[in-house]
Formats: sequence, structure tokens, C-alpha cells
Amino acid sequence: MIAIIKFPGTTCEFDVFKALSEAKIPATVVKYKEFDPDKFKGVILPGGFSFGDYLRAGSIAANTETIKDIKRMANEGKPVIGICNGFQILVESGLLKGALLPNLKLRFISKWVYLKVVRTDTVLTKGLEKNKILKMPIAHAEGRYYVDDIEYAKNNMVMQYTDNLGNVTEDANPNGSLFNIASIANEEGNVIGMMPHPERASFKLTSPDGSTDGLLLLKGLAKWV
Amino acid sequence: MGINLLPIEIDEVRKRLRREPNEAEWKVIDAVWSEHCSYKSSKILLKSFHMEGPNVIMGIEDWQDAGAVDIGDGWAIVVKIESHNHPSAIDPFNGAATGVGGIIRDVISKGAKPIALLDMIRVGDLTLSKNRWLLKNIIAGIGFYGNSIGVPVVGGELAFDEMYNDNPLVDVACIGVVRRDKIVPSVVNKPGLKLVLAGLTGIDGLGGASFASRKLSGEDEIGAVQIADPFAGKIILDATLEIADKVEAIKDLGGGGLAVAVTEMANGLGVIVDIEKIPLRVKEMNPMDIIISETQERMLYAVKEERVNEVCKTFEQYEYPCSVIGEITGDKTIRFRYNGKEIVSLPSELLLNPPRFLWPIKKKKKELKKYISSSDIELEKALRSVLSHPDLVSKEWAYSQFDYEVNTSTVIKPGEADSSVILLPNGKLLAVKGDANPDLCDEDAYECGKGIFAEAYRNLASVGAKGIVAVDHLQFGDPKKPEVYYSFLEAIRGIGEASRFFNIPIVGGKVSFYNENSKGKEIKPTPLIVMAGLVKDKFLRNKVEENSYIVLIGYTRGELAGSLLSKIFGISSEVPKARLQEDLIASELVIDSINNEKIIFAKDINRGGLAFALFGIMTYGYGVHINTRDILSDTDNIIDVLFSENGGRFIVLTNDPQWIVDKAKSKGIVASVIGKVNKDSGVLSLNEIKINLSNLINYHFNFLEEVMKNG
Amino acid sequence: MIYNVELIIINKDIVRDPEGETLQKYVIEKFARDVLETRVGKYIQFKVEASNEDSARKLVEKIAVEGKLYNPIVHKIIVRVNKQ
Repeated sequence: MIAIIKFPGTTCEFDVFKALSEAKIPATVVKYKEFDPDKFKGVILPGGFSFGDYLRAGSIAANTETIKDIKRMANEGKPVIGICNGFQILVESGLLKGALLPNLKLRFISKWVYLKVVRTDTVLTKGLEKNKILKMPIAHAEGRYYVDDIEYAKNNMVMQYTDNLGNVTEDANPNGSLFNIASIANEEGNVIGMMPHPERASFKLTSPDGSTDGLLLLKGLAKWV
Repeated sequence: MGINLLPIEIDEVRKRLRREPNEAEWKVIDAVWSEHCSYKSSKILLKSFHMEGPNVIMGIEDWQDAGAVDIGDGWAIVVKIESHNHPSAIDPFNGAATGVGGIIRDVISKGAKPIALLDMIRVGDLTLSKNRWLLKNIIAGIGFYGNSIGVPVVGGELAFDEMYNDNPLVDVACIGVVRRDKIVPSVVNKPGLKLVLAGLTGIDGLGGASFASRKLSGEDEIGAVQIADPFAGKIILDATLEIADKVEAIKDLGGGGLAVAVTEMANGLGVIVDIEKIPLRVKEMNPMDIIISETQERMLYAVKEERVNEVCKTFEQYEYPCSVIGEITGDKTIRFRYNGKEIVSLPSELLLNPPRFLWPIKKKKKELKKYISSSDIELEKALRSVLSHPDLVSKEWAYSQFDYEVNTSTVIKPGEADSSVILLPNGKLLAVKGDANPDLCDEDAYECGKGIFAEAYRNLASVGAKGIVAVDHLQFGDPKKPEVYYSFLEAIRGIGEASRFFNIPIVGGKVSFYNENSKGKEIKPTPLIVMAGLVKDKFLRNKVEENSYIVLIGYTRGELAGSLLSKIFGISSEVPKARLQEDLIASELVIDSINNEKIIFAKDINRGGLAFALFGIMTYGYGVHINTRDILSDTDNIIDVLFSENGGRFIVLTNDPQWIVDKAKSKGIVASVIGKVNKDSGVLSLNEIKINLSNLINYHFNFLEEVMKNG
Repeated sequence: MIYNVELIIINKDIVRDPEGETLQKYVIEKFARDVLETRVGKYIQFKVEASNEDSARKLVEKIAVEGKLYNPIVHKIIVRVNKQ
């Protein structure tokens, strides 16, 4: 069973639940204060505006007891996935190195983007071919990934923003992220953060072209339940 | 802070009460009798609307914050529209944000989950930096609130006119879903229920309801500023939906604060509120101020005594304040007590029945402007001027600031088509669109009233949906000015007739008067319709293909008054009549074509006329070739033909044009193959003339982004 | 003369500050019980060429108003000038 954590202000927990159900992965939404790490094989921090995104997105949630429990799970090698606000919480808490700064255009950006899978040894990307192009939506104001350790970034990035042909270009970078990084993981590959929303690319009807690339990523969790 | 009542109303109060109200009581009456809350200048006329239907569960008659319609399978949708014009002129960020907050609370007060928002914004000329500042902050405010609470903004309108320079119009509509048998009323019908208030009360927005009901004075208007807190809004949303089936009635606190909320909830019964029980954010507030404070993110619940603890326990878990502040009584009097001392005691009947006004009317004399004839306008100049007007440019700069994918139910995204489409919990598809046309309403409010209703109906048809419910928003200047009230009356007449013709009930709406600029000039009449409809069979996702045939459904008429061309060049012409039968049948034809998979693209013709509809096809990266002789029209003036905005028309793309033409004839309307799509990207070919519009296409996509960069 | 001018934009005292309230409730109160209130604002730093402190201050105040760096209905500003 995968836990989907809900903080006050989290908005995407049911979308993630619907998508995991579509991928046939047992999951349940858990309120942050009621989270018991020993009952779950993995955890997802979904998108939204935890604690209003006040001060810095994800900063207040990162300081909760819940995150201490999640750190333990990460050390045990269990999958810890952060989507959008979840990614922000992971970097604020130190579970992933780096920071997510305000978008270069200084405003919220909502659009469908192309991504290239550049690392295939993580929980979600194992089984996908390298350089595979996926289509998913982003919706955020603070998604510019930055880290001062360039080697770390290059070695651990999981997905980059690209154009429809897979070229990593400045035009294809919606927020100014270092190396067009849309997703990065820890060295072990079990803690993964991503700004795009795979749960929103899991249903044919609401996809602009019928593709469901989000499911390709989420299915990676099947081995863990 | 003075009160805003007219001398005649003040006399009425004294006469009916048979004594002089104290200061606190005057403030309560001022709030409850404000135009914003009481609809005193509009209620009589609004009763002429067609409000019933077999699917209507809650309509205007019930006066219950939001209308509700049955959509089958035991589900209902709730529709509401709201505006925040005056606050947005002062503090556009918080004004727009709290507009979203307020409408969300109206929807959840029915126990319904909000699933979509629409925003309809009108601002002034963007060459003025103040208007760029207003627009930037209005969009940011709507995004701030909507994104934080996880409700997608799926569509809307953005239009410009210098009359909105000081007074932007900010309209927000919201759709919610709820199980039919779980709809919660806003009013109570028996005494004894306890009143439970969630949230803290502060000094926000003191006098806001009467602020919205008068003209902007230009003085320090800080009294009306309400600060938005979407985090609290999300808590209220989640908690209210959790306890919805444990309470008897729910009311959102908006204009006029507690004073208005308890009066409306009691619905003729009595209320006693103990002010000292109200949790405060600010220490030592004046009891009068507590009663009319407009602090956001507060809800009022009527709860059976034995369930009160359960209800407040839920709020405790969210760490949100919740307390019992009073109860419903049987004595038909609204009472507020402070530490046992009664400071307000007013009969419900007095508060709920302000004098209703029918102001004098006077038909507006047509201004003698210098008019030119449309045949004097050079074709290419007309194309460039109209197609580059800000009303027609791509609005991606705006809608990309909204999270339109949250809730994974947005099927047709903003910017994709003439209507948004969302997925409902029962698997059905709902299309929703908002429409207004102030330029046309300024010419003839009656034809315009019919016209915008028909336009919304056509917009829904272009994605395969048939309208089932509408709400209206009537935005005008000062109703005491006879020419304003005349146009108000005419607009209601037009909307009402169209609503009966299409058999689409109007289940709710809003009236917003006193919209004028600092020089006292009123806005053009801006009634707005938001219509929702169901896709019965298939829906259409627009695409363009090389060599597809361009078919024009309906007659094109030389009626250019109120059109964009006329606005830019000043043309002497007639007002387009709304020929509702043509709108109805043409829409049926389009829906049939979609269900039979005969068309790949559909656009109804409105702003910018046929020229803009064709331009729309070209923005997909194609060119079009048109044989103007094949356009069925009552005029051979090519300018009139290209830029008339008369209704009853669609442009569709098809690979089986004969099917469309024959089907049209069988239904008694016309459809004509007027041209073909080609790969000559950016080129508009009219007969033998080729006009390259490539730089207009670039302008179309980049204008807003470029202009707003200089925010 | 070069002056460092600091511009702080913060909600007026009588205007609510939800960001400060949330920070106070969910973070600050965990660490100290003596912090009575928290308010959050924006901080902008300018390097200004001016003949004296007063004209440096007046310049930044003017920019703040004309550039709409703050909304006088909702915010107040605090300007601090230091010689470089």
C-alpha cells in the first residue's frame, strides 16, 4: 500500500489516488498527522499549496514530524515520490539536494510540456528506455531547480524539459531550471522529485492528444506493493 | 462612516419601526438594504425571468445563494456568478482573489464540491500603465486563490474598452457538483437550531456591502479592502464538505457580514446572536463593527443542538476556530446582544423587505457621431485593424497563470475552443461558457440581451453540447439615471425572451449597479450570461486539416452596429437582430454533425465576424482560400460580409461538405461551401487576391505577453 | 555620494497578514512562546547616487509610489538610508 500524504492546503491527493487506481496500485490518502510510516511500502507527497505555500513553497510542511518519519522510510530504501509541491517539500527538508526558486518569468505557469527520460535507474523510470519522450502538464510558480553542485545535478537528474523532438533547448525550459531539470532523484534512486504532474497525464479523456504518459511513470511503483 | 440609504428609505424605516433606530441598527439596515444584498432596484424586473424547468431543483425563487439543476444519475450541478468590481479597482489583487473566495463559499454552502471556475474580466486601454497594473494583479489574484484551493479556472473572457479605465469589471462564475438528495439549503424553517460560526472576525471590509452599492469616491477606500487568505479558504472548503450532511443550513458570510447572513438564513424567523461569543482576530473590536465586518473565510451553519459538538470537532481537527454564537428563534426578530445587553433588535420582516424601486426610464438619444460608410474602408486596412484588436488576441498570457488541470477533469482546455468542457462525476461531459457584448448592448440592449444568450447557446453547440441552465450578471451604471434604467429594462426583456425561447431556465444571477468612472460616466451596459450544457453524445476537439472544406452555416447580414469594425472606424449601420430560430437550428445542425463525425472543427461567428473565424483557422498554421460569391448574404459589400457579427452562424471544417449542406436544407436553414484550407500558411486568399497575414498571426500570439512585460 | 537604501514593504498595521499569521501559528510558536506576532513583507535594496541622505530617501519614496512597488491602500513602506 502506498500512502498519499495530505497536508492542510494539499489539493492533488485525489487526482494521485485516481491515477494510481488506474495503474492498479493500491493506495490511500492519509492526513499528515495520522501518518504511520510502518504501515506503508512507499509514500507520495502530492501537489498543492501546503500551508498556503506561505514563506516559501513547501517550507512549513518540511518542518513537520511527518517529514521526519518520511526520512526514515527513505533511508530504508522505500520509494518517496514528491510531485510539484511534494518536490518543493523534499528539497526544503533536505531529502533532495537543491532548491526550487520562483520561475524566471515571475509568474505561475500552466502548460503541457515534453520531457526526456535521462536516468533509468530510479524507482519510477526503471524499465523505460533512455531518452524516451513523455508529455505531461506543469502548473507552478516556484519550479526553477537550482543546486550549486553541478556534478550532482548532472548525475542525478531524471527528466529534462525538451521540445517535441527531445532537444534540450532554452525555449523548451518553462521556468529557467538548471540544465532544464524537471525531475531529480537521490543517488539510490528511491527518493524522486518532479515538477510535472504524472497523475494529470493518466487519463485519455483529459489528455490533449489521448496520451497517458503519466501512467508509465506511476506503474514503476507496482514492484513495491 | 455614513450610511448609504436614500431619504425615502430612511423615512420608511422610521415609519415601519415606529421609532428611531440606534447607530448599530442603522448600520445593519444599511447593509441588508444595500443594493448589493437586497436587489431593491432590480428585483421586480427580475421576476419576469423564466426560472422554472423540469430539472430545476433550486431557482431564483428560493433565493438561496446558488441555483441548482438536476443532471441525471442522482447528481445535480450548482451554478453561481459573482463580481468584485469595486474592490478590484482599489486593490486588484485582493479584490479579485476574494471574489474567487466568495463564490467558492457560495457553492460549498449548498454542500456542493466546486469543480470549475470561469473568469470574465474587462479592463481599460492597455497603453495606460494603470490598466496594465490592474490587469496584472487581477489575473494574479484569481490565480492566487483558485490555484491554492485546487479548483481549475477552465475558461473565461478578457476584453478591453477605455470606459473601464478606472472601473474594471471582474466576474467570476463557479460550477459545483452535489448528490441531488444531499443539497443543503441556505435558509431554515424552524426555530431552536443553533448558529455555529467558523472562522475569526476582524476589521476587514467594514462597510463593503454599501461600498459596492455606490460609486467610487476616490477617497481613501481602505475600509472596503478585504485580504484574501486562500489557505483558510481551502480549510473552509474541506471542512464544510465534510460536515455538510450534519447541518440543516449553511450560509457564506459575504457582503454585510453576519448582519446579512443571519437575517437571510432566518428567512423571516428570528435570531439571537451573542456578540461576545464571536471569536475575534483583533482584540477590542467595537460590537457594531463585529456585526457588519466582512472578514473572509467564515461560514455560518444552522445545526441541531445535539450535533454541534460533532461539527466543531471537525474544525478542531483542522485547527480552525468554531463556536456557537446564537440560535434561531420563533419571534421574527433579529437580535444582537453584547454581554447580555441588546444592541440590535429589528423585525425580520422589515429587514427582508426594503422598498423596491422601479426607477424612471428614458430612451437614449443616439449620439450624432461622424459616421462613415463601410465601403469607404480599404479591405487590408480593415483586416489589420480588426484582427489586431486586443479583444481578439490570444489570451494564453492570462489563462496560463491558472492551474486548469487540477482535479483531472478538464477535457477541453482554455484557448482550445469556444467553450470549456469538464468531466462530471457521473461520467457526463459539461460544457460551460460566459458571454457579454457591451458595444452591442450600448446600441440596443434588447437585441443584445437576446444576442448574448444565443451566442452562449451557439458556443456550447460548437463542442457538441446543448444548454440546460444559465445565470446572468447585469452590470450597469447608476439605476437612478433614466437612460441607464431604460437599458437595464431592455436587457432583461431580451435575456428573458431568449431564455423562454430556448427553454433554458435562469436559476440565479447578480446585479451590479453604480459602475462608473471617477468622472461620473457610466459604463456601457454589460449584461453577461454564463450557460452550462450537457454533451449528449460526442464532443468535438477542434483540429484543422489541409484540403478540408470550409462551410459557412447561416445567412450573413449587413448589420454592423456594435461590431468591432464599427467600434474602430465609426460606421453607420443597423443593429444585428437576434434571429433566435436561426441560432437554435444552426446549433442543432452543428451538434448533429459532431454526433455523425462529419466535422473536425467548429467555430460560431461573433466578435470580429467571418474574418476572425477564418483567421482562427489560420492560426493553426494554415492558409484559407475563399470564394466570396459563395457566401450567402443580403449585401455584396465585401467589408460588411467579412466583418458583420450577426448571429445564427458557424464556420465548420469538413471532408463531407455535401452532407452538411443537405442536412441544413432538411432543417430549413442554409449552409454554403465557401472555400478550402490549404498549406499556404498565413495567407488569406479571397477569390484572386492573396493577403499575407503572417505578422498578424505572430502579433495574435505575442501581444499580451509583450505588452504585460512592461507591467 | 553612494547610498544604500533599503525599502521594506509591509501590510499596514490595521490590515490582515495571513502569511504572517500562518508562519506564527505553524512555525514560530514551535520555537518560542515569547514571539507575540509575526508579519511578512518584501525587502528591496537600492544603490543610489545622491547628493545627500534626504534626497536619496526621497528618490526611493518617489520610485515606490510611481513604480507602484506598493499599494498605498494596503501597504506601508519603511525606508532606511545608509552611506555606502
